[in-house]
Amino acid sequence: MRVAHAAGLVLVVMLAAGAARAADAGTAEVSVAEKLDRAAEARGRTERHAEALKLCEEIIVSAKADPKQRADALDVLIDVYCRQKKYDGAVEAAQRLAKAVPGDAAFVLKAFMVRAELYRGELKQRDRALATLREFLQSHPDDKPRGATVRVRLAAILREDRQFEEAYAEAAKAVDLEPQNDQSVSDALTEMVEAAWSDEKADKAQKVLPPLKRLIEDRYLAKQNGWQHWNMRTRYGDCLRLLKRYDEARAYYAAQEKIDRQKRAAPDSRVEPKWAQEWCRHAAVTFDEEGRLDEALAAYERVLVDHPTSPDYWYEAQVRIADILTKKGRFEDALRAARVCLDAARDEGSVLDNVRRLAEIFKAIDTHVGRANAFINYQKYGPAGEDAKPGTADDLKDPLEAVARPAYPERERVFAEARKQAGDDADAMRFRALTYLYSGKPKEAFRCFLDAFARGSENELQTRGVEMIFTGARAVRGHTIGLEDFFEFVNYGPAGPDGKAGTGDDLADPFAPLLK
Amino acid sequence: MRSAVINPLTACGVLVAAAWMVVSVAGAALGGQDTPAGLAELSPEDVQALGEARDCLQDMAADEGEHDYVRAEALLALNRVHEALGDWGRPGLADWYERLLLSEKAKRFLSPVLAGAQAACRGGRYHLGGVREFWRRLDAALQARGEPVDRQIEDARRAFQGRAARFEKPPQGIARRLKPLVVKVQKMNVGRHLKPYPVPSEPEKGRK
Repeated sequence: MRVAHAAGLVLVVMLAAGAARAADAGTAEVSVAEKLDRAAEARGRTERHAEALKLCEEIIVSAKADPKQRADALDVLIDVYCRQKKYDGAVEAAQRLAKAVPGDAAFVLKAFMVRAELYRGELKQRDRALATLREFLQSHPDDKPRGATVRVRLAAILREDRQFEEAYAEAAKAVDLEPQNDQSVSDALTEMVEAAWSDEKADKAQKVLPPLKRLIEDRYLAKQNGWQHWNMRTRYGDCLRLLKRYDEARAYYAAQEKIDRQKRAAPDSRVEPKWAQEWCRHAAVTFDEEGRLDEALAAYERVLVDHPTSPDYWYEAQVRIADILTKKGRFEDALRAARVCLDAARDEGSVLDNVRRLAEIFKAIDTHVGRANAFINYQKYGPAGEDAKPGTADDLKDPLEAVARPAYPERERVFAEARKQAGDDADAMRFRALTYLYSGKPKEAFRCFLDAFARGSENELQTRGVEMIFTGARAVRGHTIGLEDFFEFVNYGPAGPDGKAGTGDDLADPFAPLLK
Repeated sequence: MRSAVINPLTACGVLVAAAWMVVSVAGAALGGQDTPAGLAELSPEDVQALGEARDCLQDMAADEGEHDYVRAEALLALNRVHEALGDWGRPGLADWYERLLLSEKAKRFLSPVLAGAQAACRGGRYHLGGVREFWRRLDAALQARGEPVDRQIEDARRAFQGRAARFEKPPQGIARRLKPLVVKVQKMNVGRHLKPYPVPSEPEKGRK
């Protein structure tokens, strides 16, 4: 009995203590961090928006709040107004609160920027957006770091409004406001470059070049997003080409090619081999544009020979080689080079382009269209001719049969080395196939395509299968007629659609004759 | 360039790691020879090392006492070894994968088993007849069991059908888009531009 009484007493005391603590909590001041948490929580619920706004305003004007908390509170506050679609209210609050904490320069800047963004975006009052940013510049003439930020934003809005010259000028003013801040300089240079590049005026390259030259320095480029780097680096070369400063462009491309090769060689590098190759291709284009055809030929050859592990630009280079040879009147060489283009074509459009290319070369050699049209007819109807029946009077012969494929000893040498390092998976086999195609050896290429299809897993099956037929088998056959049989055979195998051997729908293997 | 082997850091236990090492060492040594057709030939040592890795991985993958994740990793590695050896047509291989697929625990590593089973049924051939036959056999086996078909199997079937559908639509052919070259002959009407010189008129009488 006594024990029960004592226990009851303890319980009463404990309850009383708990109640007292609860009362204390009710009167104690809530910390800024707690308020911020509550405001952030409340912004997602419409019925608590008023609470969120009140808490944010309290935080912003509180002497206990640090700059980051104020900034976060302003974000929440603007978010709530935007959820309510009360954009004018958001602008008014930002303006009012900036005046309430004049000592917090970062907050004041943020409030101006937020207002400008609201005017630019939701309120669609671009003039007022610009005016707001200019108001900051006028009211804070000595705040250079923040002035730079505002001017860059001003430039971006002007650029959006296609006021390119004004945008360029504003960004130019920002460049040297905070020279020790690489981010600030980089942002300003980027805006200058973008403004001048977007302005479709004759002298745009001239205007882009000086800021771009600075921007592509490592210290500034590093401050931009990774995806911007390539754009800016290639644009510098583009500018030199637009200005016809070809020697400089080539020197630049050579330097970039070297840089990307070195980066590629580094362990765990994410630089792709085709990057270095692309600089090489750009250099070839400069010779092409200058009309220095012999040097262009050599440079396009380098796209293959100097980059034997990266097939990305081989086709384009081969096409240019064929076209330049044609332009130079070296028609027999052009014919051989164009034949490699036809072999390597990956789709119907490219096949057509190359059939026409070859027909034009035949015409140029013969000075009449006889052989050209015989070739076109062969491509159109195949060896059985228009009646599609072999052994009849309209059977056709391929004029290309009499044309040898080109010999590329240097390619063969570097490709052989690349094949040794290529690996043992299906992709490696596909790569080997391409090296053979560009060496003028379609039969060897075909075997590698077959092997890539047979060896690989299911994932790339259809891509490898189509390439095996459309590129591999077609290159050996020399035409596209009857390729449907190959597709059907790959789809069903020799037993045909019913899957039963020895029935009427069995399919003959169209690959077998090509492997002899 | 692509290295020979996939993922040596699977941390699936000493056995898988050791098998991976064998594959890696063999893989790194690949490519010493190149046949005229360009197929990467493996040296006898490479073939032996990969063969040992294959046997070891096959045992691991089939071991019902082994952890599921070890078996799954062993299967992934095994598939890669077959890709390197190009021996998907090995006698009994397709049966082995199919038995594994129909085993009780297969649900826990269906993805690599299905991939391996389909590749083995293709058997290094350049057509999908064997894979179609595999799906027919699997359907029959699952139907005989009377169990609902696992969603992963259905997904894999759909994926295969999607891939096979690509071969049902061969390119349309270039014939209709090819036209013979025509020599354009300008219609000549030289006469239109030719006029005779005017004949000087007789000087008037009486004028000098």
